[in-house]
Amino acid sequence: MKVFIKNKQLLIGSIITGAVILIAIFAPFIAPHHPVDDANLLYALEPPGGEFLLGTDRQGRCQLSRIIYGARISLLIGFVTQGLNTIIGTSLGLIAGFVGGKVDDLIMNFTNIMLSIPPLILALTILAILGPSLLSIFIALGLTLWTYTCRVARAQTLSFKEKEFVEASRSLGLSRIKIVIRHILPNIFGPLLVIATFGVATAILLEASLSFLGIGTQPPAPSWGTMLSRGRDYIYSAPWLMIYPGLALLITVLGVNLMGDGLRDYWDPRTR
Amino acid sequence: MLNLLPGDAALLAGDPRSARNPEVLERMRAKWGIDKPLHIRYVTYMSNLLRGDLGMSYRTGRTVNSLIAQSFFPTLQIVLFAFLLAAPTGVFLGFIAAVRRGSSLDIGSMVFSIFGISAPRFWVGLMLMYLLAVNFRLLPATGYGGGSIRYMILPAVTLALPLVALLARTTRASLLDVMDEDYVRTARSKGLAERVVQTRHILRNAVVSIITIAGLQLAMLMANTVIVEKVFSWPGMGSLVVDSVLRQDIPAVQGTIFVFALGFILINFIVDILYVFIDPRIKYGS
Repeated sequence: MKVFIKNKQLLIGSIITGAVILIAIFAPFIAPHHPVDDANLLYALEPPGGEFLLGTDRQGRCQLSRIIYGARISLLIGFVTQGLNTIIGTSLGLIAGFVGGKVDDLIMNFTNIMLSIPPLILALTILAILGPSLLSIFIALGLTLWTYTCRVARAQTLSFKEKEFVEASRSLGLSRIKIVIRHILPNIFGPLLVIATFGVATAILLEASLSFLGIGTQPPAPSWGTMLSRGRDYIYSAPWLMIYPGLALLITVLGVNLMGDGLRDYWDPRTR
Repeated sequence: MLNLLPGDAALLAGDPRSARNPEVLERMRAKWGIDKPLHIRYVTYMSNLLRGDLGMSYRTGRTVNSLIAQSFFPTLQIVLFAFLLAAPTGVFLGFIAAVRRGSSLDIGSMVFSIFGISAPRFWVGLMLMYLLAVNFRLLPATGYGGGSIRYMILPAVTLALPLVALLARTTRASLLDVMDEDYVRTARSKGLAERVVQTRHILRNAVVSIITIAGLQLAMLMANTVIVEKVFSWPGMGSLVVDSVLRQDIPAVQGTIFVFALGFILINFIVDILYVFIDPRIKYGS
């Protein structure tokens, strides 16, 4: 608990992220209307206030409800794809760092090539091949953001590989897999968690960007990115349609990033 | 690889009536050479690529080369404009934050930078558009306007903001790193003016990591144009690649991404060369 009081970034970030997670889980109980089915053209493009706190869209759907349900899509994609990335990146990084030699060269050359292509372009290409769907987004984002994790995992493994306790367990006759899992992985957990936190924020932003471009989450699913791209068409007549989904996105990503900053300070007080 | 895309070029290009006529379909397929098996198409594409020919676009019936030639300059315009705006501003903010560490200036610029990193670019663009173009009517909202500066400002500023934020953070962190070094203490203790210590000892040594980030971010700027161009209907390579993906125009997607990739390689190469000039400790070869 002391950590939270001293580390304000971690505290604020955790509160925001926690709140968004709770909103996503309890969406059906919080949302005043159904995000898709409650379309009523009589209430199309109502400004914020009254029955619809944040106004309605062209089909008369309650924007507040759509934003609340949108948290589900954003968080689901953020956490699942970053989970995939962490598994891929950590395994490759551990192997590269621990085995070394030609295996290391091969993995790191591949990682550096992937790293030189911006994730958005890579995801765009993968989505062009697979066609837009929720599964394609998982695959596209799951295959693009693991490079940072891989580099950190490798660098950390290298620094622990020669430590005495690893030498000791080697001389006790532990197998290489056991050494990596029992002795190296727990020690590099901190930096990996920091990278993973920032990765969640990146994945959420990427999904929103792809959906904004029309190749991510497909309507009628209430994705913040899709809502924003619809809102752009009503910038003159119904500006609330582009203000609030973006605000939701900003708050969520800000919360996760603050948490990442706070965690980094916790594990590496030098950078404070 | 992109040839695995579903969708048949002949169906896209021809009008729906002729698409029902198998004879016409066959003729269209022959025109683009997609009646041949995959490996032959790959060899043909590669040999054309070596001669600088990126093929024909399905959607427009024009060559991909001409599409790219037309959209390359607009993209270059806003990317360079954004970079020239962002690089000095970001480094300056980070420098001030580091020198006045803990002051309200420091905290202010760091709060700005975490917002700049977290805010979705397209939303920032939309908000700028709403405030400056729709509410106050100071600048045109969308379009190219023949490349005049007035039309460039909004997309370029949108592109620049996250870069300013990131550069400010990096500059501050790497300056703080250097400040604790022994040679900085030595410089101070031999009585050098604080200004000289700050510019010649601290900034000079922090500049390598700043340039690395700036170079990487120039590549990111190119990627972010994809979104920003769509927001402002800017007729550049970003709009081209998105429209092509949406309409499954395979040759156009392939060609644009190829040019993007060339750009990234070129930027990385230039950054590597710059190192040698800035930091005498780095040498390539032996």
